[in-house]
Amino acid sequence: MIRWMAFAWAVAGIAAPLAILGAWSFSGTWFYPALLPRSWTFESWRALLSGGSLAHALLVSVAMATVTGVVGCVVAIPVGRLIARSTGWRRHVGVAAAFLPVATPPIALGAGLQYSFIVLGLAGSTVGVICAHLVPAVGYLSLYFFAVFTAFDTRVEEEARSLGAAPTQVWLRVTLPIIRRQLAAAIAFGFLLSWGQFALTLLIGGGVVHTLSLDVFAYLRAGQSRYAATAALLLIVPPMLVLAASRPGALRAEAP
Amino acid sequence: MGPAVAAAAIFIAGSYEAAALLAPTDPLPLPVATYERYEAIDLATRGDAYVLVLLGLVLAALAVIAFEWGRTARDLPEP
Repeated sequence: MIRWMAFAWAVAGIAAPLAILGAWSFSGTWFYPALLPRSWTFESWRALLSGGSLAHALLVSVAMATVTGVVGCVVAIPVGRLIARSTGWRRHVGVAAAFLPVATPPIALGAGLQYSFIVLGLAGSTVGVICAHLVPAVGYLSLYFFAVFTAFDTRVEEEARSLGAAPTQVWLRVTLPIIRRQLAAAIAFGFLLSWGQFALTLLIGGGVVHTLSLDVFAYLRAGQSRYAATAALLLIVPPMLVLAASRPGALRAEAP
Repeated sequence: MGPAVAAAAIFIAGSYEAAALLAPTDPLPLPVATYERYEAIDLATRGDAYVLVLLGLVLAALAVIAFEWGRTARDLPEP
């Protein structure tokens, strides 16, 4: 019974919306009450493959999300480690400070950041949008690495140091190999946090920086359902790939 | 359960996209109302937008306090 319910949920919640998006992206004319499109076209996919604005938005989104994932981890690792090593009220303040940018509505974050970014000349630029994405990403990844380093046995590092290893050697040859799977997952999480970010891109990018999530919204508002569906399908692919890639790693980590 | 509810509630309360696309309600959800006032051509609404921004920040801070308090009080594992 539970299996059937899970199957029904998977069909209703995952497969059906994807199928509708797929049909929509190939539909020529599709009006109510027709159950299926009356004509089919490859127009939006052809526009994507010919390097139009959708392809450009896809490339920009991939590049920004990748940079956010990597830079976010570089910043969040020491922060998470510092919080994990602290005790008492410092630990509580550290966790709360890391969680606050994650919990704050992105619109509020964007409104707060926009003035500073205009002054710094970062508003309306890709670098500015990446910096804005890094704010919630670093908070989230700091919490993630806080959990990682709370469970991390620092005696391994102490042992390496007692055998004469320099701090860089300890980091590169001891710590990094131990946390490499968590690091890969964190980069993936950072990627996804930037990938789905809409409000911050809209406010800081000022309509100049085009990402896929902005394009979905713009196409929907303009009534271009075919292009919106194509962009939405593209928006779904990387998270699915990331989840598929991270699952074997998680299973290996869970294995006794 | 409590900390998770606080975290989920604040994420949903601050979500703009779904509210803007699917929920044309009256009154508007907080993120949509904030954005409309912030980006309006009439600059007189900018002050209202900042009030709503502060309200969002206060709600987020309360959710963070509730999350951290609940996590500590129940001795839950670290996030």
